[in-house]
This record gives sequence, structure tokens and C-alpha cells, in this order.
Amino acid sequence: MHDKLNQLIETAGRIVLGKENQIRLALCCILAKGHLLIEDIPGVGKTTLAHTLARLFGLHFQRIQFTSDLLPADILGSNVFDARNHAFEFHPGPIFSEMILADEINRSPPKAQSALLEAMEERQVTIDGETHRLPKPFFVIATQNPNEQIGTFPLPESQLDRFLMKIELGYPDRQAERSLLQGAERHRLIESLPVCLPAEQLQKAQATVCEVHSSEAILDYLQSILAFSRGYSEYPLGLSPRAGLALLSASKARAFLEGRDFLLPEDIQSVIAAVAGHRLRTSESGNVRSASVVAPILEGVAIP
Amino acid sequence: MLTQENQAPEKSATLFTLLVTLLVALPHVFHVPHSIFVFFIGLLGYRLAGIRKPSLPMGKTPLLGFTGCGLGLLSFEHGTLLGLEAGTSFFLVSLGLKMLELKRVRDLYLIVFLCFFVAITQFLHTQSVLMIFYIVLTTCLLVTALVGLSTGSILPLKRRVKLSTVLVLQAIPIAIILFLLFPRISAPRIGLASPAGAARSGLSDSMQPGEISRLSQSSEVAFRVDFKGNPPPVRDRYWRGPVFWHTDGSRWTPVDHPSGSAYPVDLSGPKFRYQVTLEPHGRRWLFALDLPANKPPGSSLTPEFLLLNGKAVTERISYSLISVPRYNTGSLNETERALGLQLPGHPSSRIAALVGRWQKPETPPQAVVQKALDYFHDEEFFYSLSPPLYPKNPIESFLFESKRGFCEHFASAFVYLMRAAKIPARIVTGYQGGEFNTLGRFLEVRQFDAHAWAEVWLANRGWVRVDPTAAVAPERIEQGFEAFRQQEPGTFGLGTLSLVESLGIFQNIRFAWASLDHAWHQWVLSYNAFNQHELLSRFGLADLRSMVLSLTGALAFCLVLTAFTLLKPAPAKADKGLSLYLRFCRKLARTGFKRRDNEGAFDFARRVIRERPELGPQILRITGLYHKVRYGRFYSSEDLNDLARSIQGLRIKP
Repeated sequence: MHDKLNQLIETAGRIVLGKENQIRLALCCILAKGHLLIEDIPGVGKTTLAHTLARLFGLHFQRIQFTSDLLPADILGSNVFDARNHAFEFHPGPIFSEMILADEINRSPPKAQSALLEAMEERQVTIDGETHRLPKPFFVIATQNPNEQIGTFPLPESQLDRFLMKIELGYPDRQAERSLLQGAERHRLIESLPVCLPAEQLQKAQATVCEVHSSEAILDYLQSILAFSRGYSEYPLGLSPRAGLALLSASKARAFLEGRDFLLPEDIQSVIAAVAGHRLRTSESGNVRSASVVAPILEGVAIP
Repeated sequence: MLTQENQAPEKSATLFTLLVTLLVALPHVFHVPHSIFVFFIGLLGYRLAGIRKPSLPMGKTPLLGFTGCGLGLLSFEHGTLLGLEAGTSFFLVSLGLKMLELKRVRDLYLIVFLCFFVAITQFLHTQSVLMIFYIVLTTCLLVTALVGLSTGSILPLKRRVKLSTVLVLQAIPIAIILFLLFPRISAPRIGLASPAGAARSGLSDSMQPGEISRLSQSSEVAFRVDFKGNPPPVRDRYWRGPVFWHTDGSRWTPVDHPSGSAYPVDLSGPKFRYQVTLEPHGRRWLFALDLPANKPPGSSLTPEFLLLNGKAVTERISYSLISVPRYNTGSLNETERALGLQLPGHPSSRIAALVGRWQKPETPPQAVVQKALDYFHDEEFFYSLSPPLYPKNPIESFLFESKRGFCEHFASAFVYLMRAAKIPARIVTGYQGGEFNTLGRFLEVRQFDAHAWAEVWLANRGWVRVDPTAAVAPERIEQGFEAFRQQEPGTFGLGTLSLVESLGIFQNIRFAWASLDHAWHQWVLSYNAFNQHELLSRFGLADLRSMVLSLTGALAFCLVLTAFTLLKPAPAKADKGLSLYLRFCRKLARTGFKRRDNEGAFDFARRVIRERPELGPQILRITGLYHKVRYGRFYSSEDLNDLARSIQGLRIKP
């Protein structure tokens, strides 16, 4: 299993150059059955990463481009009257696939956003009083542009909370960029990727992640982090219990990825920026990178 | 708790309590009448049968019946409830009867607590080292029973025994502190002491031939002596006891002297300093090596050089003495001369003829003494452990007919002969010899070392010790009684001692045991109010007030300490791994690698290894073990030991 995962990381690294850490985090997110939010300026490879992951897991992939005039029905689907049968027929929208890429999610007004986010939480959609289950597994990888860009509708805290992780890609380093410039077209490369971890194996891996042991000592550390975030004056709101659970499951996925069956403080430390960054806001306004948001926590909480 | 205590006890708990009760009470088999002990065992047996067969009646009727039996037995055996023996019997019977009332866990608790009391009562009877061991052992079992009662059968028996042993061992230091500091009360044990002198063997205050030879059957310790320096040779070890003047021809008795100090005595020559630990014998006299040059505080010295204690020796006492074996007692007053020549009527013609043969007008008394000794030596006299009894004219029948006798026969015949020759003479009884314990460097004198010898008064020399036994059986005096007896064919009198004696290893064991016993007596049992005062005044705790104060202080200190340890959160098992890891961190910190508070062990290890790659394998191993112990799902104590060893073995060159 670990060989396959490592192979997967390596393969993805050939597409998304120089971003191994982000690939690992994204993988953690998927293993922990969480949804992923990628935030960065356009053109740094957000879509490519999402596309690559979908391909490597062999998941049915749909892309929804969020625009300012997107309606919920465009995402979820709608009942259409069939004149021949004299009946309404449900036409599923793009959400009925195993992996969704919700591109530039903050370009849409809240109505469309919330349609997606409800589906993410419930893993089902209800249209005209009829409930339709979404496929399993079901992942949403959303990308968004930094909020200061023109024409964006920032996601409210409660909706950000739906995403297990938010990662940032950033510009590639010089060498990676050179390889990118020299290499073949990304789209064609993705098309040629093999499936590394089929869906049923992924589900098995996800089940194993849940089994990772968290000792008393590690829970002490986790709780210290939560308590610290609630008492730190720079954070208007501390981490919620759901954030604590998210942190725990993301850390477990990272421990699993490292080949361990128990949690270490390092696991928490390496995922905390991605898990807690978008849930915490520092009192200074503007866009602050997740790493610097959680820095006081990493500095201030001693490992017991 | 209350509900648990009111529940019926488990069978195993009842069985265990029965067993422990039996063990605790067992030594009392020597202290109470046999019928009482059998009755007690019977009650335990009835209770045991009740466990097997629950239909056996345990109610009021059998209880009343048994109580009646017990009371009848008590009044038949003792007739009273006062006194040590009767009290013990009563206690034992009550304990047995309480067994029949055993219905709830609460009753078991009560019985266990009663058993603690029974254990203490053993000390009223004997205070030997063996008993201490036994009581500590049974105390462990009693605590085990208590642990079992409060935990039920959750803990396996082995764990319960271990727990209780640890508890008892923890209590021992407290017991020692209390022993040393708690005020020693030197109150007489009224009503508890066994009847004075009745059961004790030892010398008596009169002498009749046959009495001392009876003592030779007893190997009880009479006293022990610690010499400062070397002990005197065996032939000089005459331990002076009562002196007898008056005789009716068979029985010898002492004379009540007008109290006064001993005569001025010339005591020049080598001195022996020693300390005697005397077993209780119910009389006043204190034994001393011939002749004592001082007297212990509270005692007096009679004109016949017998040390008398202020009161009868009913408890073990110890006293320091200086003795001088070469002495001259000087002149003799008229009263004493008359006493020293006293005879019951005129000596018979045979004795007169015998003495007449030795005594020419010009012969000095010294030569007469020598002739008498020669007579014992040359004629066919035998030293015998079992001489015949001489009911009539004992001295004459001994001298002329059987010629077989023990030391008292020789001594009394010799004194009689001397008196017939008009030389003042008297009998001295006491002990001769004793066994030197080479291991503990002390002399042990037993009852079978009891001896009788003679003293004659010679002008210019005063009272001179003459031992006619030495003329007949010099080995008895040269080697000591025990060694002598082994040479005597066919007399295995006290086979036990003689047999083990022939095997060197057993002698060593015996010496070791005697040393332990002696040390126990000297350091523990003789720790009285006086010794305590002496000990504590060395630490500036001279008076009771400051002692109570320091005792309270020590207690308060201990309590505060206990409170602190109890208030501290109990360290979980995993924290052992943490404390080991922190030791590892301290070790690394000394070489400049300080782990930051928020740094994970693995990150830290990586940072160190970057700088010191040669430590890599060791550090990774330690970190891995630490992770397993602290964060892993399972770990064995072997992992913990492994971690400790690895950290121990980590050597970092600066």
C-alpha cells in the first residue's frame, strides 16, 4: 500500500513540479476523507493538481467552473419535464461524480456556493423534495483566488470550515519552472497517467487511516493546541471541536502516509497550517498565508 | 463500602482468614493449657466444616453451647481471668467463638484486627529473634487478608502477598523510629509476669548434693559475657555465686551476715573488664568473675564477695564489672572463723583418723590442703554426672564407699574434711567455664556449667579457692563442662549439643545463632528507659518534653512529605518513557543540542543527526523506542528497559 502511495506521490510530482509537500498534503486530505481547498493566484497549477489526483485515483472527474451567474441547478441538476412520458425526469448535474473540481469557487455568489457546500457536507442532494445520494467516494477540490482580487465573493467562515484543508501552491522555484518550460504539455501528460490507486483500494486505505492510534500524550498535545488557539489574543475565534477532529484525522492520514500506525507530534505540526490556517483569522486584515497564521501555535505550544 | 461490608464473604476469603488465624495463634500452643488450644482448634475446624457444609448450624444455639463449654474449660483450667496465661486462654477462646459469628465481610475485618492483637500477645511470652520473624511473617499474611477483603478476588494472591509485604516492609522503618523515640515505660508487668522463679532453673539458695548435677541437664543460657580484651583462660573462669557456710551434714545453707562492706582486700595484678548480660533467675545475686573489684550501681557486695542486686533479677539485666583473679583477702574475724569451722556434731572416727593422718602438729595448713587434694587424686574417686544418692551420712558414704560424685560432692566433702582439720573453709557455688563464641567474641555460660568449689582460709593469703573437682577430673576444669562430657563414654546426656558439636559446620551455625541472639538481647531487648535517655541525650533530646516535641515534628514532617507525594499526580506508565527521554535530552543538552519545547522528538533527532551523523543509529533507535513507548499502541516493559539501556549506553564525545 505504501509503495503505491509513494509511487502516486512521485508520479504526481512529475506533473506538478516542485510541489511535493502540497501533493502530500492533498493526499492526506483525500485519505482523511476531507475536501480540499487550494488557494492561490491563477496560473500556478491548481487545476493541474486536482486533475492529476483525480486521474491517479482513477476517479470519475467533473469540473465546474464557478462564475458570477452560476445557478445551483447548474451544479446539482434539475427535474426536466419529459413530454413523451408526461413525467418529470431528473437530470443529474456535474456534482454526481466521484471527484469535483470546483474552480474559482469564490467567483460565484453565495447561492451557488452554498449549493455545493451543502452537497459536500451531506454527501447527498435534495431537489424538489427528492433526495439523491452522491457517489462514493466523493471529493471536492475547490480552488479559489485570493480574496483581494476583483470580483470575488469570499467564503464565510462556516463554509470554509467544510474544507478539511486549505493549501497554497505558490510560484514554482527556478529549477522546477525550467523543467516546466522544457517539458511537454501538462494536459497531454495527465491523459497518459496510469491509475495508481483504484477507488476500492483508496477506501481500504481510508479505513486504515481511521485505525491509526492516538495516544494520551498526543491528545494532550492536540488539546493544548486547541486551548492555546482559544486563548491567544491575535485570534478572534479559536479552533472549534470540529477543527480539532479535522486536525486529528488529517494528522492520522499523514502518520499513515509516513508508514506509522500511531500519531506523533510532528504529524500534527506538519498538517496544522493546512488544517487550521483557513479556520483561524488573525486580527490583522488582508490575506495572510496559513503558515504565518499558525506560527504562534507551533511556537507557543510545548510538546508535553 | 457499607454495602460491601455487609455482604457475605467469599469462601476463599473465609478460608484464608481461618488459615491466618491458625498461624497467628499457633505459638500459643506452648503458653496455654492443651485443652484450651484443642478447643480453639476445634472451633476453627467447626467453622471450616461450616464452609464445606453450609447446613451446619451456626446460629445462636450452637454459639451459646460453645460459649458455655469455653467458659467451663476456662474456669476449670485457670479459675480466674487474671494473669498472663489465663488472659491468653480467654482471648484465644473468644477469638475461636467469634469465628462462629462470621456472617459478613465486616466480621472478617474484625477477626483480622483481633489477630493483630493475638500476634502482639506472643511478645508477652517470648521475645526471641525467631518470634520476631514469625510475627513479621504472620503480619504480612494478615495484611494480605486485609488486602484481599478490600479488593475481593480482583488481584491474584501473588500480587496481594507482594503488596502486603511491601506495606509491612515500609512500616518497619517507622517501627524502628518509634522504638527508638517513643518513651520507654519501665513499669512492672503487673499480673502478667510469670510466677517468679518457679519455672526458672538456676542455682538455689541452699545446696544439697544432687542439685547441681540436676542443673547439668539444662543447656539454658545463664548469662553471657563480653570481655574488653581477651577472656581469662578456662581454668580461671570461676563465676562466683552464693556462698554456703552452715551445714547439717547434708544440706548447706548461707549465713545472714550483718550487712557491711567487704574487707579491705589486696587487689593487685591483671584486671579483666567485662560486661555480663544476665538472664533472669529470680534471685538477687549477680555473677562475677573471682573476685569483683567494683560493684554495679544499685548493687551491694557482701563480705563473702557476692554481688547482690537491689531487687530480684526477674528481667534480663546487664552490668559492667572489673575483676582481679589474683587477690589476698587478708584477715579473718572471729565470727567468720567460727562459721568456717562449723560442723554438725563431731566428725566420725573414720574421718577423724583420715584427717589425723595428714595433720601432724608441725604441718602447715597448706600442706593439709594439698594432702587432701592428693587423697582425692590418688584414691579411686570418680567424677560422675549421675552419682548415686546418699540419703544417710552422705559425706562418709561418699568418701569411703562409692567414691563417685559430682562437683558438689567433692566440694562438700572437702570442706567437711578441712573443717575437721580445723582449717576454716566454705563452699562457693556458681559457674565454671563457659563457651567462648569465636564469632561474636563473647562467652556464653549455660546452666550445665554450674559448679561448686571450696575456699579455705590460710594465714597471709586469706581465702584461697581450692577446687577438689580439679584434682579428680582436671579436664572438667581445663576444658569446660561440655567438652568434658563428650569425652565421658556413654554419657550423651544432652545428645543434641554433643552431636552437633562433633561437626565443625554446625558449631559455626550454632555460634552464629548465639551471636545473633546475644546481639538481639543486647541491642534490642535491653533497650530500656536508661539506654534511651543515654542515646537521645547524645542528640540533645535529654528530656521527655523535647523528645515528644521531636517525635511530633518528625511525624508532621513525614505526613507533609506523604501529602506532597500523594497530591502530585500519579505518574502514568507512559511518563516513565518521557522521563527517560528527558534524561536523553539532558544528555544531549550538555553537548549543546537543546531540544526546543515545541520540537518533536523526530525533528530533534534529525537536527542532531545533521550535526553529528555518527550518532545517527543510536539516536534514531532511542527516538524510535521513545515513540513506541509514548505514542505507540502497545509496548512491553522490555521496550522500556531497552530504552533505558540505550540511553544509558549513549556516549557523546564533545
